[in-house]
Amino acid sequence: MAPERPLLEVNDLRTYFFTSLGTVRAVDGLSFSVPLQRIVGIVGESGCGKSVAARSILGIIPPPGRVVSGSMHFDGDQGLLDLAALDPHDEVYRKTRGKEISMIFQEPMSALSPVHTVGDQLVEALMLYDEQLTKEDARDRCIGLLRQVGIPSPETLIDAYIFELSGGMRQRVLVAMAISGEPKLLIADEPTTAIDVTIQAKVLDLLRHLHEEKRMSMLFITHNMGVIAELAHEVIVMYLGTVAEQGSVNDIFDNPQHPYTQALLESIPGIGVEPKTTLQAIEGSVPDPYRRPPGCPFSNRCPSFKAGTCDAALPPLYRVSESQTARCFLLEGNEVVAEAAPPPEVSADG
Amino acid sequence: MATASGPVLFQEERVQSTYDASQWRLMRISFARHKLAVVGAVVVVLGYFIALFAEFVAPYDPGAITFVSPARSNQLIPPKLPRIVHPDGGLRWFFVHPLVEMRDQETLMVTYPEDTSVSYPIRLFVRGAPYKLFGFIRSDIHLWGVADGRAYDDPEKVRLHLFGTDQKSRDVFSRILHGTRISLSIGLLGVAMQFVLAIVFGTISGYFSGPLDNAIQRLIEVLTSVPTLPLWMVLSISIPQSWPVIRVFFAITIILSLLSWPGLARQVRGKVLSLRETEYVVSARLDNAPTSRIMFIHLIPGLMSHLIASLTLAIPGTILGETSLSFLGLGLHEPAISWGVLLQDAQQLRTILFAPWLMIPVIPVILFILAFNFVGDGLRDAADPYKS
Amino acid sequence: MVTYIVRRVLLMIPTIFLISILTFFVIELPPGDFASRYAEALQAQGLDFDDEVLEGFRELYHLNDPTIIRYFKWIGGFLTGDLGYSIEHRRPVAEVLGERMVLTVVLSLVSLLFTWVVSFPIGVYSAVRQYSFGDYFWTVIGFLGLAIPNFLLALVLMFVISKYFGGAIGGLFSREYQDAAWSIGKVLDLFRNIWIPVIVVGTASTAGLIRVLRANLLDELKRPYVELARAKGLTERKLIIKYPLRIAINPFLSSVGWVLPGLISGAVITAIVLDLPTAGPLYLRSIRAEDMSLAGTFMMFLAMLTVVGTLISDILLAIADPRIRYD
Repeated sequence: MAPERPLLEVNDLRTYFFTSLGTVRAVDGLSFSVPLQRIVGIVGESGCGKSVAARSILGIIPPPGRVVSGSMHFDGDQGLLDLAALDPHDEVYRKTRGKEISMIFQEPMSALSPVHTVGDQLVEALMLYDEQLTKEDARDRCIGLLRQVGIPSPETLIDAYIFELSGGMRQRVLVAMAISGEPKLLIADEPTTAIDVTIQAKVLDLLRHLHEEKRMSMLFITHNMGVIAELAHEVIVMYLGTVAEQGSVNDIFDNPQHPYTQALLESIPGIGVEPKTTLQAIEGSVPDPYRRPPGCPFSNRCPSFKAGTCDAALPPLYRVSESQTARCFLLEGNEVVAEAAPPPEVSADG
Repeated sequence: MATASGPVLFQEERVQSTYDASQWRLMRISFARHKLAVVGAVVVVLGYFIALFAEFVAPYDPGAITFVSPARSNQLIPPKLPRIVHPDGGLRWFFVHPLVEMRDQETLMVTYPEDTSVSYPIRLFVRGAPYKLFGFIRSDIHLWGVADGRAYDDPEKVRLHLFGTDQKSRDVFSRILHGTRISLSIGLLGVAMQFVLAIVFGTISGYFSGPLDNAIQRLIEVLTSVPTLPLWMVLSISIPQSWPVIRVFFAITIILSLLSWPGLARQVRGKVLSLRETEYVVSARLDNAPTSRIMFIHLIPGLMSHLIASLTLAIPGTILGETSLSFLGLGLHEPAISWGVLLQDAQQLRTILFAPWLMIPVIPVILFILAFNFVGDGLRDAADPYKS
Repeated sequence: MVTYIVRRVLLMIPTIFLISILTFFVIELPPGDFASRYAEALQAQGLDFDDEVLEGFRELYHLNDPTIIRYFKWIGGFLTGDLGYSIEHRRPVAEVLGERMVLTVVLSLVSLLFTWVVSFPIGVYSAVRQYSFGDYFWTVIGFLGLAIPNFLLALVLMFVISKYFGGAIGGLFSREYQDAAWSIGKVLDLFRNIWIPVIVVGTASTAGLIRVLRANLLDELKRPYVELARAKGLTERKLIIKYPLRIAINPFLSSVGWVLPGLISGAVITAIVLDLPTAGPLYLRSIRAEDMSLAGTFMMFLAMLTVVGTLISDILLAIADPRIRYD
């Protein structure tokens, strides 16, 4: 652990959804931390629980979902808070939300109200974070924010509706909204997935620029290894609700230990690879959320699967190096950082 | 979930089956989860069963005036439930006391006190008025009746009128059971016609955009702007009084359907518009498949599940339409028996104050409208098994 | 916005024209005409007259003109404000229908208002507190409301009120105002008496609207923009009022299109059962007597009430939803 206290420290977080068909363990024993002023990337396939993890931090898990155990220590303006222990409707939590921890959503078109102007939605946020602010000042500051995120002629666009903007502009509005409270932690949930490739790079540039300027910590969620390589300092590879491997960017890209990480890296096209070599797709698909394989969650797709070991128990987290850990029996013999904790017995109404 | 105990296994089995089941299977599972819909379905099935076997299920002949003598008019007998407590204090199988018809000397009103000295049991499968089931099976066995040993046409025959009798001495309960026949079949038949109209106009309008679509859209707009009931009223007044019941029945059904398809057609059109752009339809079009084939093989099956749900929800409207028209005296007339025809008797405040049981036909109307609504809701949810 | 309204109004013209054709020919449909019905009625009273007299009668009221000509005469008169002459009442249609039509409109609009005022809070409550006791309670009431036909409700209310409260419900006015000229007192009296017909007419559409509103709001509550508003740190109450409610207003406004025709139909049958001094009972009589100009005018008015109601709701919708406005 770094000598300094991290901004956010998530420990053994479990967020379950209690549906009529059974319990979905969307996040199941997730631990990681976001140090001050660093960009942490979470990478994983769709359905691995990245978005649920982000929403757990913000306390906006929709029913029938609930954070069932674990802790999320956040070192903010209101002292050290364990967000997992707070009721999501709690006043302290609500004041943290948006102002100190904010989030950039994936789909700008549906994440912004179609019947309110851009300004209306932004001014509302600004006035919420600074209660002394008058409407006029909020409007001025709003124009400033829009300019800061690179929106041309913000004086007119402030009165536009979301459907009048292009995809890139919409995403910039979302970014403006997310930074309007000068947050300490900015969560970006696949912010570039819904927009054109050409604009993706610009939005990433904007985010990097904002990070450097405001020195805020970022939690960057994506399924795109390329984006991670470009932006993140540290990487968490998630699989089926838990950490498969984590380490610095260099650790993960140069020395991946977990077969899943290796498979992910093989599946991206790269420069310097022989032309006409087939891209390696990962065999099989993410298991049915209601029916996890016993043992290691990746065991049913793993090329190094060892019967009797991998399907018997969940592997513990092994240390690879000072900065890198991985959850795989291939590392047996290494130092165990954390034993795999069994899921708690919980019921829907608990 | 981690332990392999019984209930968990069961749950996993169920989960497994939903995960890779066919669409129809998913629909069935989803429908079964909707408890009210299942109850509604049971009521509906029971209703159509009664409609088919009304003669057998009903204890008495619904049309014929109950056999009367100078001493007995049997008019407006109040409803009566069978008894189980005998005057001697003991419990018996269901039985009835015969009713004595008396005229109050002061008010001149007829009253029906019970003669508690005698009692007759209720029996299943008793002989009663003869009938022909489906028009050719001769029988005189009824599901239940009072066993008093007298012939069905004996004026002294002891009867149990669960819902009382009307002004013409007829058994309201038997009439309601027979009423299911017209009231429920007009729902089905009307919806079948709407179904055809909606499919034809909706698919054409959605598939061929342009002037044809425009024309149909305008027609739909006009039909939805004119309030239905007044229009129904004029149309049904055009039905000649001299027509036989069956022809009037079809005419009313056509009138009700002619004005009710636009809503459905609009839904079909919307669905066709979205299906038209799906890959499988586009590829069929690129393959130069004939239009009729695209429509019948590709488009209409895709609409089916939604359409069935919408149709079920349209049945109550048709049932209500017939009931309203007949109630106003513009629809079916006696000797036809439908719930609306029965309710004609309940039009006068004076009548219902004296004989409130003539309002009982209201209950099946409400019951079946509810049942169809529940079934339709369940089907609609089931048509979208992936939604939630 | 102005272009939108203009375009919408222009689109209305062909619709109204088609409605007038439909109305006229439907009214013409019943066999025979007023003269033959009138003759039947007179003969039933024992009066006899020959065909020549009948023909003269037909000439007098232009019943012998070809249908097309009569249509254009009728619609032409309509456009110039001449609603025709009721043969049955031997007075101009405008005079016979006038006050009753106004009361019909008042009854329909008050019922619409009732529908809105009642369904909005209940719909919102049921969606926000989904699966609560209140939600189930209102769902049951709503289903019953949908299932009970207007005239049955009228009948049952009539029965209950006369049996248990001793009063008779008849009409929209107390006895002393029945034939009085219009005054403030009479208007107040109208609103004292109108609630029973309003409940009867409005219950079904209220139930329908509650269901639509609840379903719509439930959909909206799951949208990402609600999640974003929550992530911003808005309180639950504020965000529900500002976002989903704002968008759920749309089905509410567009409800005019489908609620109003239902209300008008309901008002007709309810008026007949309760014998209200609105146009409904008059309409039933006129179609029985084939008093064409009266029945036609009534139907035309109802259709136009719907068309204009839909127009107003479309304009309101365009004001409420920028997506429509900018389309």
